[in-house]
Amino acid sequence: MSRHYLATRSAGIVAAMDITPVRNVSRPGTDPGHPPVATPRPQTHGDHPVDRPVVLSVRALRCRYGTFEAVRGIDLTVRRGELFALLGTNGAGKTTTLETLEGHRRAHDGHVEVLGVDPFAERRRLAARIGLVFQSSGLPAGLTPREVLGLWPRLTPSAARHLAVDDVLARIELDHRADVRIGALSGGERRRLDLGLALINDPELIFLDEPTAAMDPEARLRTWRILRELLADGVTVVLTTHELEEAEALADRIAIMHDGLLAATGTLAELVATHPAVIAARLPHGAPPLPDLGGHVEHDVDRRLRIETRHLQRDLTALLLWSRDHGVRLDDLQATEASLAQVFHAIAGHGPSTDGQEAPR
Amino acid sequence: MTATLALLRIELRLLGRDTTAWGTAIALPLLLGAVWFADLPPMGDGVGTAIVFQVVGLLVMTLHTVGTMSLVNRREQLVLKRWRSSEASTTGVLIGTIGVPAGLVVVQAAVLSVITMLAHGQAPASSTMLLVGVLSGVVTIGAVTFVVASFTRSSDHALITTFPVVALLMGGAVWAMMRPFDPLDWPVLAIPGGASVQLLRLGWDGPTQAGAGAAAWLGDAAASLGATALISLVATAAAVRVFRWEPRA
Repeated sequence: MSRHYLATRSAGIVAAMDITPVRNVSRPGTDPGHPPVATPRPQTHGDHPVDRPVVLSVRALRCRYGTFEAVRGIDLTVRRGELFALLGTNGAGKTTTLETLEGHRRAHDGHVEVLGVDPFAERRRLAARIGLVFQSSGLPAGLTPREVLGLWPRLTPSAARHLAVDDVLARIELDHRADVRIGALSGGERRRLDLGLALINDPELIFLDEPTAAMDPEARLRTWRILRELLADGVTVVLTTHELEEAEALADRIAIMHDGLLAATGTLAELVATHPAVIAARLPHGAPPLPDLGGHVEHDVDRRLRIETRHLQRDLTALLLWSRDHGVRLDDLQATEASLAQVFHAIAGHGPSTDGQEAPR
Repeated sequence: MTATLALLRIELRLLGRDTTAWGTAIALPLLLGAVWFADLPPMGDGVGTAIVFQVVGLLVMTLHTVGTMSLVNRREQLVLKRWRSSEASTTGVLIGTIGVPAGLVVVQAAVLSVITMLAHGQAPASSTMLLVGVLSGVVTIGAVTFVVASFTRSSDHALITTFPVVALLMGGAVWAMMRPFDPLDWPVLAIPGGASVQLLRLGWDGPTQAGAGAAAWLGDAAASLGATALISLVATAAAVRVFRWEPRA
């Protein structure tokens, strides 16, 4: 998702007033009133995300390690065909949450339902319907990709369909390394194999724990492409990541965990809307008083102007008109929409702003 | 069952590719067997004792020590978690992981016992009861291995955590062999692996009532089989409660 960004070094930029510094924050098919156009999902039910069936539901989830409470009561819902990204600082509780959803960990309190079943109690039943990518591979180094992919159908015999091993190898672009021992694969190749293993039983839901960690930029893009293809096929994806760019590029909705709580949840647009945009410029000596701007205005000793505003277009227009009318040159002018990084750092720095409940927006 | 068999096949394949492991697995009994063929004094009644210690040694080394390290390694590498994300049952995953060392113990014990018997020209009263003794040890020590692996943090740590069972089993075997055979020797039966020693002795020497039929065999074996079942069940129940499938648990 590209950030629309305005930067200019000179005055006389009234022409720039035509620029709409509003980011394209909604992915087609995910924003209310914005029907699917670019990524049709034939297996989804209804045009609007809220019309789709819930595949994952968590209410008041709590998980503990001994006396340490890693997850302190979170609610979330994921619908079919959605890519839900779980972000958070180290130790925020992302992996614990994911493991609970996968059925590897019993919730100490709360209600968890995945594809209509309790994932811990019905782990084996669920196994054939989901795909998993762990934080690290979890595959014996002495086996080859072909052997591991060939083994999985025998370990998930109830799956409705198994993909052909060669097709999966080609999709993850490991066909040329199919018979090399896993121990000899690079970190990125192992991550691709993990993804292939998650795909082999043609799952309805995939959990990915930092799927592109250790991948080079090219491999990361290829993985993103595969995830987009899965979404187009109606597969639901839940991923954790430290890569904010990854969440921005892929996620329909994003949740930010901090200290065991869900500090914020929403679409990218909803999350960034909670933080102000910034207009910055350097004013000349003797500049006349600024117009009445809605945002928070600061000057420093170096004549730098900084305006934090929730009405970027309106205030930028007012500033540019003021600059034109008074013949004021605005050096180093920048107008920047709030970013996911700002939202993330604000939460990581100050802690959750809610009581951990999924924020209704 | 399909999943468990698939895991066993994979473990066997991995063992086959680990030249050090299978080399040791084959070389160990053959080397020990060669010792029996070497110029040793006749053992007389000591052949049965030798077989008991061979089996106990295999239970300690091949099953308990290697099994604990194998479980801990696979947990550290998230392999157990990976297998458990399949449709394989919890028991299936554990049997799949430890099944190969357990099977190796049976094969090694059989090879070693046959070599020892051939070297000294003696045969057991019942080969079947010897096999039951070996299987009893595999079940009990296998279950204890799961418990030990539960609180073993790393492969290095396994060198420490396996020691108590090694000492108990070896020391218990020596102590048991110093006592006259009594099918109801409760102190011996209370030691993990003690029942296995009793069954091996029974298999070599025969029942206490000479000339009696199957009832005598069963009568002498009953307490040992009961002790095997009880200790294995207690250890399994403990393992189910405390076994950790991944390092973070």
